[in-house]
Amino acid sequence: MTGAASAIFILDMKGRVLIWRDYRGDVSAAQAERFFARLMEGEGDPSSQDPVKLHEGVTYLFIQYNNVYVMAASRQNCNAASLLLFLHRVVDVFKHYFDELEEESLRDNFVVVYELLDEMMDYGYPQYTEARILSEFIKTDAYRMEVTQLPPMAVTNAVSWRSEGIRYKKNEAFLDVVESVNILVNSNGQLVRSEVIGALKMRTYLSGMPECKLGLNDRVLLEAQGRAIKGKAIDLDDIKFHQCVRLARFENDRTISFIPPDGAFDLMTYRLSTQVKPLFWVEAQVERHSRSRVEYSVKARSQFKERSTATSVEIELPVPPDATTPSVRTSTGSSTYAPEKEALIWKIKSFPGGKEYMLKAQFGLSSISSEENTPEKRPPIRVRFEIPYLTVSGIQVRYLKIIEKSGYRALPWVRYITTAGEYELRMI
Amino acid sequence: MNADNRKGELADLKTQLRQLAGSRAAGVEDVKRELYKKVISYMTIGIDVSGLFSEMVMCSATSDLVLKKMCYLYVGSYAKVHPDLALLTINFLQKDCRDDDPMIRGLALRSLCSLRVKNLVEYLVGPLRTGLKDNNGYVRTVAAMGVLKLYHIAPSACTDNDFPATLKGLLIHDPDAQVVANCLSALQEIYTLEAASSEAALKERELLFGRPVIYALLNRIKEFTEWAQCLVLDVVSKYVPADPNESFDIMNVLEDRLQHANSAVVLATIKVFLQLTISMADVHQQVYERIKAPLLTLISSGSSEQSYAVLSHLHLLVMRAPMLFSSDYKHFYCRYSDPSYVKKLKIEMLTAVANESNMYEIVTELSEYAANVDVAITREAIRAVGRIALQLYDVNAIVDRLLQFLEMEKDYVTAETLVLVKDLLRKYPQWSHDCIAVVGNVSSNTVQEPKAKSALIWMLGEYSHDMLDAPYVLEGFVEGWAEEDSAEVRLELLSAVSKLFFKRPPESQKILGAALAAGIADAHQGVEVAECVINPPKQAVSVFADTQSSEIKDRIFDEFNSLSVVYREPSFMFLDKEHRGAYDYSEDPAAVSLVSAPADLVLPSQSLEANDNDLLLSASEKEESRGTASNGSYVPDFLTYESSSAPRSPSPPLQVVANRNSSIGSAPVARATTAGRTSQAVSALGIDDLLGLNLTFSPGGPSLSLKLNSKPALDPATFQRKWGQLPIALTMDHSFFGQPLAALSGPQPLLRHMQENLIHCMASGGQVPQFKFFFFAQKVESPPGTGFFLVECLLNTSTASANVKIKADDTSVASKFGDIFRSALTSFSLA
Repeated sequence: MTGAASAIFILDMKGRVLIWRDYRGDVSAAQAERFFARLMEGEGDPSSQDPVKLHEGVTYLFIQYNNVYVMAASRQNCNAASLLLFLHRVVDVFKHYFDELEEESLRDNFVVVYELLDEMMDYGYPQYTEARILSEFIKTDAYRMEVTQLPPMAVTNAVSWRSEGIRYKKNEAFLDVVESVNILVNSNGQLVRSEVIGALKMRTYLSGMPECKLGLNDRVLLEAQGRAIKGKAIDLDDIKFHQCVRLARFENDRTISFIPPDGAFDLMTYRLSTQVKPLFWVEAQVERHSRSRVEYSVKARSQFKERSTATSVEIELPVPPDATTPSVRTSTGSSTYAPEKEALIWKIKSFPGGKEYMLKAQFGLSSISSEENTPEKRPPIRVRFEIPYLTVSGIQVRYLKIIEKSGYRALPWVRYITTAGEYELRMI
Repeated sequence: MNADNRKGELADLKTQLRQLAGSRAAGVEDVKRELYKKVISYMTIGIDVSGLFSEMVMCSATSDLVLKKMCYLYVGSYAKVHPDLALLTINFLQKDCRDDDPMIRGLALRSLCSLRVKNLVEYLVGPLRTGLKDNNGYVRTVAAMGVLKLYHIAPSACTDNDFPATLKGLLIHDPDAQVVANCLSALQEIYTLEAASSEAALKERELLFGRPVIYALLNRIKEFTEWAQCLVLDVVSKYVPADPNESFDIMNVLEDRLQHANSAVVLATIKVFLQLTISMADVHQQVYERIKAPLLTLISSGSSEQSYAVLSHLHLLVMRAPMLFSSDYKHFYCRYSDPSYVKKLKIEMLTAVANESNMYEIVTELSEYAANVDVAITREAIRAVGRIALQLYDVNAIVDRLLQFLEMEKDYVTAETLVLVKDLLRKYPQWSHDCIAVVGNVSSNTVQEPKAKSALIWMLGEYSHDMLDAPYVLEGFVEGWAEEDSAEVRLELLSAVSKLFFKRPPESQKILGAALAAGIADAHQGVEVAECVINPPKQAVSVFADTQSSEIKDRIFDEFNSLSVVYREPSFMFLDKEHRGAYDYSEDPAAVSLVSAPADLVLPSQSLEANDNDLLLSASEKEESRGTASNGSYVPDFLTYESSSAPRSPSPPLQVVANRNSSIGSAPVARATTAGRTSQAVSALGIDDLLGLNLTFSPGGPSLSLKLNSKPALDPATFQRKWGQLPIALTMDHSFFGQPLAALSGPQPLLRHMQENLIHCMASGGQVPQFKFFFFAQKVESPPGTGFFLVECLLNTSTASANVKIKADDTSVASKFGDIFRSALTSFSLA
């Protein structure tokens, strides 16, 4: 039996229930607080503990967002994956309404929170979680609600993600191809793992019920069409689509066709696990001169073509917790010591391809010797960057067609960007 | 806000609401809204505002939707505690259920159904009936769920009005997919609960998983919201297709669901695929290949919580298909930013997928984690390295790694590693030379944890001939006897010192004397302790022992995509009885096993042939083959010569696995395997017990302190229920050495024999060479319905062995009952 949730709770950082919706009357707020108190006295930080826990016959599933915990309780053998994801959707919906979800924004909006929780879940079963659909019958600003309320068409419509009657003066669609690179390099300089997670992020401001069609340089598609593959065709490992995409058509002829939701959404995500050359290579040499001084010399190299330029490059170099009196020289960019992160952060605004920059840093160590028993942290060097106009996978949008029966002309805008995901280089 | 202030504030609110109640002035709605908001805020922060009930109701005559919503909310919160006042609201809620605006109709109906006041049920039936026929989908969605709410308040009111039948109609024909989904949720719950007492409901429930419903749902799968799809897919996974072609059709329809962005939909689809192909070995394997990519994507994208849920499922799958992810191990490498709960699961996955070809890289990666800042993760990583070493044959590289850990000079790393090195030495004595060279360098005063201390002392004693300064280190420990709190360490010290004495008498005579004196004077242990010295105890190696029965594992697999997978327990083990529903009883393991063909029973002897590389090993086979392999190699020292002479012999006659323990690795279960003459085994076990291994094993044959009732009364239904609820208290393997079982042609002789031993049979089945029995017995002078022991016994006449699972109302005497049962089996003879 697919189980139902008993209640949804939102708690503050101290584990007190701020607001909750009771769906089935078999778990109380007091019980939930008891559970959370146990959790917090147990191993400290709840966010490092299992997000699914059994306590007094009740299963609690929780996630943390900013300074609140969102938690579901259930007495049945519920679907853990589904409920955890549902909680994230609840957060998304609140963010859509209050711009940011935090204790303060909840306190200001108790009524709307109740309304939303009522429409997102009924008697413990998830219902609608599309923020844009929900906003048609719940308006944050109650004063704007002069017009008579009709249940939005979408609620009773086959196209559950889009309402009818949307109008824009200027019809535009923005498509961002965002690739995030995960890299793990071992302390011996060996590339252990590389992975690209890609997403086609869309923002559509289109009137009516537009039919969209997207063409990619997908190898399977191009071969199926018997076309000569000009330039690069790509193999995507595992593709996932937003629910608006007609998956059956994609299976048949690899066409991505859809009626988009209004506003921002992820049209498609994919993964690429073929080995990619790391875009940035960072080497750090550490020399401990005595018990009281440590010296770093860091080399950062960009390994992509010269015509591309990375922006907002940040290299986070871990340093000992007792490091003081930094003295840093860089060949380019600026550096700041962030003791709260126990790291030196080297920022380079613009980093063209095929270049190498240097940083030399020296720290004093305040404690004579670090205590034997405290575990020595060995965080990796972490790198953040953005490279516009570049995709690691080589994915290209060949066309984005937008057809609406009223015949308007819509402008599609396509951008490419590569960013660092979990980009880690372990130090010796 | 203090109490007085609050009172004043509430009185103020009351007056204001009263004034507004009849007013039709312009802008009055805005003022009301502000007041209502205040009331709701108070309510939320826990101030009792139920005193305003009648005023709130008076003000509710409004056409303003926002006001109405707040009013419904208020009423819903206080109706249950003030049922008398709730009656006041019925009127306007019923009226709103007839409003022109479908939104108001829906909201009012939802509030009406959510009052949860039993004596108001009569007012609910009418609006609900109208609501189910409403021309607006939103209202019908609310009404469908309303039926379920009514059922939970007053089941008979729901069924007497034929609401389930109405829902059945909507389930197939309603144009709105969400109505269909809510009907499905409601009907599943209602029929499941009804099925406990009604045959008809059980049939209805089966119809829900029948072809017409399944096809109707599948044909419009794309219309459902992502959450409803999860629900529908779960129902589809229970459908049994007529033939393989039908399975393929369904999988074709659902193929694209694997590309859905919602991870819950993907997992639900995977469940359908796995269930549909469970009896088609080839296709089942293809399914594993097909679902691999989506699963791997899900763990590296999305939230940590999603990774957690998906990794739990991967762990289950990898237990069934060990080779599946062995080349994708890099996906389980931890990220620095992963929360501990994800890291723990990833480390488990790395352990589970390790094999000869990827072992070196996995161990290298695990070694990185050993320097992790999180002590818990460090320990997990070191244990994982140890587990891999114990699982695999080529441990060359691993030993080096472990020894490097010792050189890191961190106390908790050293402690964890020492325990592992000791275990490894017991399995691979050939490494002793390398190991002791490094262990000898460990400074004994940095070792504080009792387990680690014992391990170090054991090694010092065992290899004292190769360790130059062993006598002096041990001497240091003996001098610290008084400060040593752990009995385990003291015992280990006694035996180590005596071993030392035999090897290097001149240097150790003095220490032995001191140790013995200290031991005899020991307040905790008394003189008995000295006995241990004569026959030094050898601890059982903690192995990667998974004591869950294959039946339990299969049940968890049946409950794929639910909490069972996360908890690694079937739902009956963690749910309250009332939330299990009839479904679980009807699929009770006892019932299922009795009807299943005996060919399904897999016994250890057969699984010897099972190839570890077989992707399709069922849980039972895999478990058994591991168990068998370990019997050959992990037996404690006093058995070594026997096991090496016949390494592939059937399991030793008796294997006691102490209690059930579901989590692999986190709590390694100590196993004591005894063989041959009992006298030898008994003395060793007696000592193990002293060592705090908690093996409740009574030396000297079966204990007579437990007496059984000669005429216990237990009906099959109760047996079945108990079997479903109780955890396994004890499992054992029994070999009928020298008992010619091959001549057994039917279950009867054993039944009669067991009955003579006051162990009664509930059911039996099977044929040569496999039989299955369910026995039960009861402790004398137990109150009715308690003190029962339930036994499942699988008997294989060709291997002359039995696999026994015992469950008990009172687990404290389970092992005593185990002794009785074993001795009854031992005395069984066909003559």
